[in-house]
Amino acid sequence: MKKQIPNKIHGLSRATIILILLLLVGCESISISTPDLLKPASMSPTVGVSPNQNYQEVMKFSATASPRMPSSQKSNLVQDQMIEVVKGSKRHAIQGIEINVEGYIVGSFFPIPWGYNETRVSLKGFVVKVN
Amino acid sequence: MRILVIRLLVVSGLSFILILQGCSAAKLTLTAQNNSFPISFSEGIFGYNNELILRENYEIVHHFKMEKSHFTWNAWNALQDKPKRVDLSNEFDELLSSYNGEAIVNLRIKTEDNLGVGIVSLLTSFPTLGLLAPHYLETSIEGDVIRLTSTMTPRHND
Repeated sequence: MKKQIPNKIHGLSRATIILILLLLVGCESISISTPDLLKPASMSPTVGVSPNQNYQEVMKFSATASPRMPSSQKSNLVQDQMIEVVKGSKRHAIQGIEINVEGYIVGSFFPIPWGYNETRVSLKGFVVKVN
Repeated sequence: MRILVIRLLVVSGLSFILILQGCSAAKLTLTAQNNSFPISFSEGIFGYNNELILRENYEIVHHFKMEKSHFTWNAWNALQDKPKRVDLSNEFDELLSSYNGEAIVNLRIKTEDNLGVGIVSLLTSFPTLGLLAPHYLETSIEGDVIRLTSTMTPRHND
Protein backbone atom coordinates (compact mmCIF):
# COMPACT_ATOMS: atom_id res chain seq x y z
CA MET A 1 0.00 0.00 0.00
CA LYS A 2 1.32 3.43 -0.96
CA LYS A 3 2.30 5.56 2.04
CA GLN A 4 0.50 8.90 2.13
CA ILE A 5 2.01 12.13 3.40
CA PRO A 6 -0.15 13.30 6.31
CA ASN A 7 -2.12 16.52 5.85
CA LYS A 8 -0.90 17.82 9.20
CA ILE A 9 2.52 17.42 10.77
CA HIS A 10 2.73 18.39 14.43
CA GLY A 11 -0.49 20.32 13.98
CA LEU A 12 0.83 22.41 11.09
CA SER A 13 -0.64 22.11 7.61
CA ARG A 14 1.63 21.30 4.66
CA ALA A 15 1.11 24.78 3.22
CA THR A 16 2.20 26.42 6.50
CA ILE A 17 5.31 24.24 6.68
CA ILE A 18 6.27 25.11 3.07
CA LEU A 19 5.74 28.83 3.80
CA ILE A 20 7.93 28.66 6.92
CA LEU A 21 10.68 26.86 4.97
CA LEU A 22 10.57 29.44 2.17
CA LEU A 23 10.82 32.25 4.70
CA LEU A 24 13.82 30.54 6.27
CA VAL A 25 15.51 30.55 2.86
CA GLY A 26 14.87 34.17 2.00
CA CYS A 27 14.81 36.36 5.09
CA GLU A 28 18.43 37.45 5.43
CA SER A 29 19.26 41.16 5.47
CA ILE A 30 22.06 43.33 6.83
CA SER A 31 21.98 47.11 6.89
CA ILE A 32 24.94 49.27 7.85
CA SER A 33 24.72 52.99 8.50
CA THR A 34 26.54 55.24 10.94
CA PRO A 35 24.22 58.09 12.02
CA ASP A 36 26.12 58.73 15.28
CA LEU A 37 29.57 58.93 13.71
CA LEU A 38 30.64 62.51 13.01
CA LYS A 39 34.21 62.18 11.74
CA PRO A 40 34.77 61.17 8.11
CA ALA A 41 34.83 57.46 7.22
CA SER A 42 35.42 57.47 3.51
CA MET A 43 35.51 54.85 0.77
CA SER A 44 37.90 57.05 -1.22
CA PRO A 45 41.46 57.93 -0.16
CA THR A 46 40.19 61.45 0.63
CA VAL A 47 38.45 62.53 3.84
CA GLY A 48 38.20 66.26 3.20
CA VAL A 49 37.44 68.72 0.45
CA SER A 50 40.86 70.38 0.43
CA PRO A 51 43.23 69.07 -2.24
CA ASN A 52 46.21 69.92 -0.02
CA GLN A 53 45.49 67.55 2.85
CA ASN A 54 48.24 65.12 3.91
CA TYR A 55 47.48 61.91 5.75
CA GLN A 56 49.54 60.00 8.26
CA GLU A 57 48.47 56.36 8.66
CA VAL A 58 47.73 55.46 12.27
CA MET A 59 46.43 51.89 12.03
CA LYS A 60 44.38 49.50 9.94
CA PHE A 61 40.66 49.28 10.54
CA SER A 62 38.22 46.42 10.05
CA ALA A 63 34.74 45.60 11.33
CA THR A 64 32.33 42.81 10.50
CA ALA A 65 28.56 42.45 10.78
CA SER A 66 27.24 38.91 10.65
CA PRO A 67 23.63 37.73 10.72
CA ARG A 68 24.15 35.74 13.90
CA MET A 69 23.84 39.03 15.77
CA PRO A 70 20.48 40.54 16.63
CA SER A 71 19.34 42.90 13.88
CA SER A 72 19.96 46.15 15.78
CA GLN A 73 23.49 45.12 16.77
CA LYS A 74 24.75 44.46 13.23
CA SER A 75 24.94 48.10 12.27
CA ASN A 76 25.71 49.38 15.78
CA LEU A 77 28.74 47.13 16.11
CA VAL A 78 30.33 48.55 12.96
CA GLN A 79 29.46 52.10 13.97
CA ASP A 80 30.81 51.63 17.53
CA GLN A 81 34.09 50.29 16.17
CA MET A 82 34.41 53.25 13.81
CA ILE A 83 33.75 55.71 16.66
CA GLU A 84 36.29 53.90 18.83
CA VAL A 85 39.16 54.04 16.32
CA VAL A 86 38.77 57.74 15.49
CA LYS A 87 38.30 59.06 19.03
CA GLY A 88 42.07 59.52 19.63
CA SER A 89 42.33 62.94 18.01
CA LYS A 90 40.15 65.64 16.49
CA ARG A 91 41.91 65.00 13.18
CA HIS A 92 41.49 61.25 13.03
CA ALA A 93 39.39 59.77 10.23
CA ILE A 94 39.01 56.55 8.25
CA GLN A 95 39.95 56.41 4.58
CA GLY A 96 39.99 53.84 1.76
CA ILE A 97 37.16 51.70 3.09
CA GLU A 98 36.53 48.51 1.10
CA ILE A 99 33.17 46.82 1.52
CA ASN A 100 33.32 43.02 1.43
CA VAL A 101 30.05 41.13 1.12
CA GLU A 102 30.22 37.34 1.54
CA GLY A 103 27.35 34.89 1.13
CA TYR A 104 27.63 31.40 2.59
CA ILE A 105 25.28 28.48 2.49
CA VAL A 106 25.36 27.09 5.98
CA GLY A 107 24.30 23.56 6.92
CA SER A 108 23.35 22.21 3.52
CA PHE A 109 22.03 19.06 5.20
CA PHE A 110 21.22 20.20 8.72
CA PRO A 111 19.04 21.56 10.18
CA ILE A 112 17.06 21.78 6.94
CA PRO A 113 17.92 19.80 3.83
CA TRP A 114 19.07 22.65 1.58
CA GLY A 115 20.74 24.81 4.19
CA TYR A 116 20.18 28.53 4.58
CA ASN A 117 22.01 31.53 3.26
CA GLU A 118 24.16 33.61 5.54
CA THR A 119 25.51 36.99 4.49
CA ARG A 120 28.41 38.71 6.17
CA VAL A 121 29.48 42.31 5.54
CA SER A 122 32.91 43.54 6.53
CA LEU A 123 34.55 46.94 6.12
CA LYS A 124 38.31 47.41 5.86
CA GLY A 125 40.23 50.67 5.71
CA PHE A 126 42.90 52.80 7.36
CA VAL A 127 42.71 55.15 10.31
CA VAL A 128 44.61 58.31 9.39
CA LYS A 129 45.55 61.61 10.99
CA VAL A 130 45.00 64.64 8.79
CA ASN A 131 47.81 67.22 8.70
CA MET B 1 36.70 -6.43 -0.71
CA ARG B 2 35.29 -4.76 -3.83
CA ILE B 3 32.22 -3.55 -1.93
CA LEU B 4 34.45 -2.10 0.79
CA VAL B 5 36.46 -0.15 -1.80
CA ILE B 6 33.26 1.21 -3.40
CA ARG B 7 31.92 2.26 0.02
CA LEU B 8 35.21 3.98 0.83
CA LEU B 9 35.11 5.82 -2.49
CA VAL B 10 31.51 6.93 -1.88
CA VAL B 11 32.30 8.13 1.64
CA SER B 12 35.42 9.98 0.45
CA GLY B 13 33.46 11.57 -2.40
CA LEU B 14 30.72 12.74 -0.07
CA SER B 15 33.28 14.07 2.42
CA PHE B 16 35.07 15.93 -0.38
CA ILE B 17 31.79 17.55 -1.47
CA LEU B 18 31.03 18.57 2.12
CA ILE B 19 34.53 20.04 2.55
CA LEU B 20 34.13 21.92 -0.74
CA GLN B 21 30.90 23.41 0.53
CA GLY B 22 32.55 24.40 3.79
CA CYS B 23 35.06 26.49 1.81
CA SER B 24 32.43 27.93 -0.47
CA ALA B 25 31.30 31.56 -0.36
CA ALA B 26 30.16 34.10 -2.92
CA LYS B 27 32.27 37.21 -2.44
CA LEU B 28 31.72 40.74 -3.66
CA THR B 29 34.11 43.61 -2.92
CA LEU B 30 33.04 47.22 -3.48
CA THR B 31 35.74 49.89 -3.69
CA ALA B 32 36.13 53.53 -4.68
CA GLN B 33 39.89 54.06 -4.54
CA ASN B 34 40.18 56.46 -7.48
CA ASN B 35 38.01 59.34 -6.31
CA SER B 36 39.54 62.59 -5.12
CA PHE B 37 36.59 63.67 -2.95
CA PRO B 38 35.22 62.23 0.32
CA ILE B 39 32.64 59.40 0.15
CA SER B 40 31.79 59.15 3.82
CA PHE B 41 29.62 56.84 5.90
CA SER B 42 29.24 59.63 8.42
CA GLU B 43 27.63 63.05 8.03
CA GLY B 44 31.00 64.77 8.54
CA ILE B 45 33.93 65.61 6.28
CA PHE B 46 36.99 67.79 6.82
CA GLY B 47 36.88 71.29 5.35
CA TYR B 48 39.49 73.42 3.64
CA ASN B 49 41.18 74.23 6.95
CA ASN B 50 40.84 70.70 8.36
CA GLU B 51 37.80 71.73 10.39
CA LEU B 52 34.95 69.24 10.76
CA ILE B 53 32.04 70.16 8.50
CA LEU B 54 28.66 68.86 9.60
CA ARG B 55 25.07 68.99 8.32
CA GLU B 56 24.49 72.68 9.05
CA ASN B 57 27.37 73.71 6.79
CA TYR B 58 26.28 72.02 3.59
CA GLU B 59 23.20 71.42 1.51
CA ILE B 60 22.12 68.02 0.21
CA VAL B 61 21.68 68.39 -3.54
CA HIS B 62 20.81 64.79 -4.40
CA HIS B 63 19.96 61.51 -2.67
CA PHE B 64 21.06 58.46 -4.65
CA LYS B 65 20.63 54.71 -4.48
CA MET B 66 22.54 52.17 -6.57
CA GLU B 67 22.38 48.39 -6.58
CA LYS B 68 25.12 45.88 -7.23
CA SER B 69 24.59 42.14 -7.46
CA HIS B 70 26.65 39.00 -7.89
CA PHE B 71 25.28 35.61 -8.92
CA THR B 72 27.24 32.39 -8.74
CA TRP B 73 26.92 28.67 -7.95
CA ASN B 74 28.19 26.90 -4.84
CA ALA B 75 30.52 24.53 -6.75
CA TRP B 76 32.11 27.44 -8.63
CA ASN B 77 32.66 29.38 -5.40
CA ALA B 78 34.51 26.45 -3.91
CA LEU B 79 36.96 26.39 -6.81
CA GLN B 80 37.81 30.08 -6.84
CA ASP B 81 38.69 32.14 -3.82
CA LYS B 82 38.97 35.65 -5.28
CA PRO B 83 36.04 38.02 -4.73
CA LYS B 84 34.34 39.80 -7.60
CA ARG B 85 35.68 43.36 -7.36
CA VAL B 86 33.46 46.26 -8.37
CA ASP B 87 35.02 49.72 -8.54
CA LEU B 88 32.38 52.40 -8.00
CA SER B 89 34.73 55.31 -8.73
CA ASN B 90 33.28 56.18 -12.15
CA GLU B 91 29.70 56.08 -10.86
CA PHE B 92 30.57 58.35 -7.93
CA ASP B 93 32.44 60.70 -10.32
CA GLU B 94 29.38 60.93 -12.58
CA LEU B 95 27.08 61.59 -9.62
CA LEU B 96 29.26 64.40 -8.35
CA SER B 97 29.66 66.09 -11.71
CA SER B 98 25.95 65.75 -12.57
CA TYR B 99 24.88 67.58 -9.43
CA ASN B 100 27.90 69.84 -9.12
CA GLY B 101 28.58 68.40 -5.68
CA GLU B 102 31.71 68.43 -3.56
CA ALA B 103 31.40 65.22 -1.55
CA ILE B 104 29.18 62.25 -0.73
CA VAL B 105 28.02 61.64 2.83
CA ASN B 106 25.58 59.48 4.83
CA LEU B 107 26.56 56.33 2.96
CA ARG B 108 24.44 53.31 3.85
CA ILE B 109 24.80 49.69 2.72
CA LYS B 110 22.07 47.09 2.73
CA THR B 111 22.34 43.46 1.64
CA GLU B 112 19.33 41.34 0.88
CA ASP B 113 18.65 37.78 -0.06
CA ASN B 114 16.43 36.98 -2.97
CA LEU B 115 13.40 34.76 -2.41
CA GLY B 116 13.40 33.59 -6.05
CA VAL B 117 16.96 32.32 -5.65
CA GLY B 118 15.89 30.69 -2.40
CA ILE B 119 13.27 28.69 -4.25
CA VAL B 120 15.80 27.62 -6.92
CA SER B 121 18.09 26.64 -4.06
CA LEU B 122 15.29 24.56 -2.61
CA LEU B 123 14.94 22.67 -5.90
CA THR B 124 18.59 22.22 -6.89
CA SER B 125 20.59 21.90 -3.66
CA PHE B 126 19.30 18.69 -2.20
CA PRO B 127 19.50 16.50 -5.35
CA THR B 128 23.03 17.78 -6.11
CA LEU B 129 24.26 17.59 -2.50
CA GLY B 130 24.50 21.36 -2.39
CA LEU B 131 26.89 21.73 -5.33
CA LEU B 132 24.28 23.49 -7.45
CA ALA B 133 23.05 25.77 -4.72
CA PRO B 134 22.86 29.31 -6.14
CA HIS B 135 24.36 32.32 -4.40
CA TYR B 136 22.92 35.74 -5.14
CA LEU B 137 24.30 38.76 -3.34
CA GLU B 138 22.25 41.90 -3.74
CA THR B 139 23.75 45.02 -2.22
CA SER B 140 22.28 48.50 -2.29
CA ILE B 141 24.29 51.63 -1.58
CA GLU B 142 22.56 54.88 -0.64
CA GLY B 143 23.98 58.30 0.09
CA ASP B 144 23.72 62.07 -0.33
CA VAL B 145 25.60 64.30 -2.74
CA ILE B 146 26.40 67.57 -0.95
CA ARG B 147 27.60 71.07 -1.74
CA LEU B 148 29.15 73.34 0.86
CA THR B 149 27.15 76.44 1.68
CA SER B 150 28.63 79.74 0.51
CA THR B 151 30.25 80.61 3.85
CA MET B 152 32.30 77.42 3.74
CA THR B 153 33.32 77.57 0.10
CA PRO B 154 36.94 78.75 -0.32
CA ARG B 155 37.94 81.68 -2.47
CA HIS B 156 40.53 79.96 -4.62
CA ASN B 157 42.21 83.21 -5.72
CA ASP B 158 42.98 84.37 -2.16
